[in-house]
Amino acid sequence: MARKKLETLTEQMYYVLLSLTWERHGYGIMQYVAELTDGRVSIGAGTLYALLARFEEEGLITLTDTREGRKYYTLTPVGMQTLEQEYDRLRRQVSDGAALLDRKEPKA
Amino acid sequence: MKLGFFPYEPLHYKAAQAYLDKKAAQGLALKKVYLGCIAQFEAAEKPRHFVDLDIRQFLEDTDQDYLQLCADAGWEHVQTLRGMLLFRAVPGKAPIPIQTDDVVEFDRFWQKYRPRIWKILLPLAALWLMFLFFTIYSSTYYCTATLLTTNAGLLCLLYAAVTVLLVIASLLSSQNYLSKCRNASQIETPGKTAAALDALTLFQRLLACLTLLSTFLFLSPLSSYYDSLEERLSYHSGTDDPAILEEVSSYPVLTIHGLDIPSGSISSESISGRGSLLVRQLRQVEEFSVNGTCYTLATDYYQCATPAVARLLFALRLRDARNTGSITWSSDWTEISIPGFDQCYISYASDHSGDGYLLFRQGNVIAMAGCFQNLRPLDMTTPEALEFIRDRILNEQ
Repeated sequence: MARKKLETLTEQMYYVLLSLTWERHGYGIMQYVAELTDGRVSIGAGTLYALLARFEEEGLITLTDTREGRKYYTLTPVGMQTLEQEYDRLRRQVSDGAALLDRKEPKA
Repeated sequence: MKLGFFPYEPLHYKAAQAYLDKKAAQGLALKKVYLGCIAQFEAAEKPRHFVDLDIRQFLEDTDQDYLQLCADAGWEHVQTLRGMLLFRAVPGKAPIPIQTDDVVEFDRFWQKYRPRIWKILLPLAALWLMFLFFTIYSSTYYCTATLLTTNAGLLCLLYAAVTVLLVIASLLSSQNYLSKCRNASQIETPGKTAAALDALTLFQRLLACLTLLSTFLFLSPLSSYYDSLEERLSYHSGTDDPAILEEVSSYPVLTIHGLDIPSGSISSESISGRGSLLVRQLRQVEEFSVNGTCYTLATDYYQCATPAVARLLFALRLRDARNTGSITWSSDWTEISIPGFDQCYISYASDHSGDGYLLFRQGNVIAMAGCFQNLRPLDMTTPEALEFIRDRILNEQ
């Protein structure tokens, strides 16, 4: 179902925003994410295109340049804040998981 | 090089994907789609395809940045077709699919196709307007018989029938498909009926083009064929040439000589014809004067392919005659029984001075024939007139 607001990011959304902490064009984002995750996360061109359009519409990223038919984007302050919130949420999830899963004794 | 049928609409783009996947498994890569539905394939090594919805709909508006992005990722844009983008993998590359997030893809699909009330009401309103148009138009003008007597009219009928069928089938099918997608929260691959429905949609569009074209031709002078005879006789003043009159008498029409009308001079003679796959029509008008008074003798003759077509056309012709009073001076038609005729109606003159016009059907033949204008009309029910009709008009079939 359609989301109205980006309150929770999917894994691919998260990595797209993460890659745009530096100015990049679409294919650069795809390559960076594949490299960063060792190929675990792949983002298709259509998915990326839809995400970029959506992020731009919601003010999370901004178009900085167009060179050789490629559009370059970077995060806006709002986008950086959204990324940081998601990072914080994920970190707490990992922390909560670690508190339980890393113990040697049986779980409750 | 191989060809395939590719009728898919954007709503069923997953069916298009499944079709291209099947071709890829046979080692065939899409080269181009001609005429919107003929796909040409070529042999390729490990071909892959991807069909995507084009949110910009048309090629000239398709964001080049997007196509560049796909090209960078290893997808060659083959074609934009009816709101779908058709890609194939660049030879030697194994790119990741263009859509990798099912949620994002479904969101976009659902935003575009989710059921809305206007999507249901609009086709129904269109059908209702079509019905209204035919009802009002056919009750105002002399036109319904034309639907059968011209190929343009037959195309109109076929187009209307296909459109009605398509609207109903599309409504049911798309609602069913979208319900399945909503329940599964993903874009399901449509069944085989989707391809059939999309093929019907293509056929309907082709019919629309043919109908428009033939309607244009119908309105132009090219529409009706004219007999070579007509070229010589049309508005031929003072026609008394025995050769011409003999030629006229070879047609299933009324003539003053045949009806033994007291000799007068023919001022003009006109016979024109047209036909469709189902009906051949002749229209004859003979103008003559007796003692300085002008008369018009006219015949509308229809030879139908089958008695069923003749029955339908007869009903339409009677309806047109009653609605418009066309050709005759009166819209008052009464059914009578005359031996030797399957159906027969008489039109009375407005002053009830006589029975001037007959509309009858016998087997495959329908004719409206009579004499009118200015003075007392000719009685077409006399034994002599009926005998002439049987000899000249019904014996033609």
